[in-house]
Amino acid sequence: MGDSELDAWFVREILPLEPILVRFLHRNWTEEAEVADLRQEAYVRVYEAAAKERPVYAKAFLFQTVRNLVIDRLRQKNIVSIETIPDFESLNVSNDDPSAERYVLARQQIRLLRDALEQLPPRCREVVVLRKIEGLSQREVAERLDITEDTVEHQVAKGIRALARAVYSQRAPIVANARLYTARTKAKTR
Amino acid sequence: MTSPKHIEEVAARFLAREDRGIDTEERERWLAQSTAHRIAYLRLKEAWRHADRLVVLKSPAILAPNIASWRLAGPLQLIAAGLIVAIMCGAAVSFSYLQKDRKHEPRAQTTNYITGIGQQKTISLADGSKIELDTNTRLHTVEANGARAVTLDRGQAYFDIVHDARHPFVVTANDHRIVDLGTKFSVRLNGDQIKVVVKEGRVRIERVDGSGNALVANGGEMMIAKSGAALIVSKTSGEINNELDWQHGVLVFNQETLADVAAEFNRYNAKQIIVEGAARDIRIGGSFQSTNIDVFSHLVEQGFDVTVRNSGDEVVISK
Repeated sequence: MGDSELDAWFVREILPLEPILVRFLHRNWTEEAEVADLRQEAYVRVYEAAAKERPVYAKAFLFQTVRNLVIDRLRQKNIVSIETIPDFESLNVSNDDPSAERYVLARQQIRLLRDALEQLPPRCREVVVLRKIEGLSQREVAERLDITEDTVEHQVAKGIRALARAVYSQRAPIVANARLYTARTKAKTR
Repeated sequence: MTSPKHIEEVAARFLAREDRGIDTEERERWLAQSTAHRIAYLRLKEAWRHADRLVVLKSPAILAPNIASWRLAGPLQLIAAGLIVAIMCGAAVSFSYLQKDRKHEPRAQTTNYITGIGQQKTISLADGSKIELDTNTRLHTVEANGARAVTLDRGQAYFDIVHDARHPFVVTANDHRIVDLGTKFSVRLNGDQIKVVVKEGRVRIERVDGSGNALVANGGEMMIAKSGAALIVSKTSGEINNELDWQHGVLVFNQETLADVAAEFNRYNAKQIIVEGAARDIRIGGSFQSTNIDVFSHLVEQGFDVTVRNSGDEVVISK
């Protein structure tokens, strides 16, 4: 069933846009609780459309999809008013540099990951440290901590979700800086 | 639609179980049930892969303050203490090996390797590792006390390293050190800029003076470091191959300016290409033999509205 090429495309082109996507949703959707739901729905629509035909400009396509989605939802709720018309202009979605958002300032990401790691509950943190920093397998972690593999698994699952929040929460200036930096170095390389 | 939170919980559970190689059929069934399931799974899997970068916390400079600030409860404290000791020992070993290296420097065996303009050369090391030198490159290897160290003085080289956790392979370039964690990668020096392209495996990149955080670049990533700032960029496998095509004597360009393209050709040839005026901004793509300037300039002349003067020791392209 799985299409690994499509999966790779989604991971490479769409997921790095999540910080911008979520920020946009927070700004334009009053129900905070529904943001995760909208994000999921937008991803589903993009993924299913891309299964038929890959869009050329991933970023533009994602935001077109989100725009349609938001309008559909507003229509369902029957609450279209001046205030709720999304601020699409502020997005400034351009096609000329589709790869810019893929850039991640690595030092910043490590800091976010480390902060997330330090905020984990002790046992969960211990398990993640042994898995990711010490490079032990799940079985070895279980033996080292003298706990069952089921417990390790439970803690790893918890750690994955917490670290995912850190990975996908990069702030806008980081992307902007990275882009500036590449623009400057591009002129000098090659 | 099921709530995103619930889907994420299930996806995280499947992912955590993957390590044990169980429930794969159940996972495939669940993934096939809906696109939302599949996406939640891909999203967490990618984040968990990014978390591999945490391995840099192993480096002593970062580790010490952080571990110390971790308050662990009950019996875990003992385990944590053991863990710290184990890591510190590792750190001590790698430190002492570096110091030894310095102390015995006079007795260390240094070998220089140099390629001229247009030359390429492959070096085979005793441990089975291979180094390919690109044009106009100079590097020297230092063998002492079983340590494996190379300094890139200029140019570009590709490293295909046989991993040995006890003797990490270290490449020094300017103020950065690249430590292999089992890998194939290239390093290029261009003025004060360092570019590392990782084809497979992983490398750790750190400042020689120990300042700043270490970074980890995975296969399919490229790192550019310059005057204190460093950037890691994800690349498709095609882009990575383009970056490494010089090994086959081929230069690949993708909508780059003629000025940049000429600079790249000039690294490989004594005969230099000079691009003047508006011609500098023309963008071209394609793949070319790195040493065949005449064919290249002929194609440019035919394809664009430019004047090409070929004087024997240089080619001037202007518009």
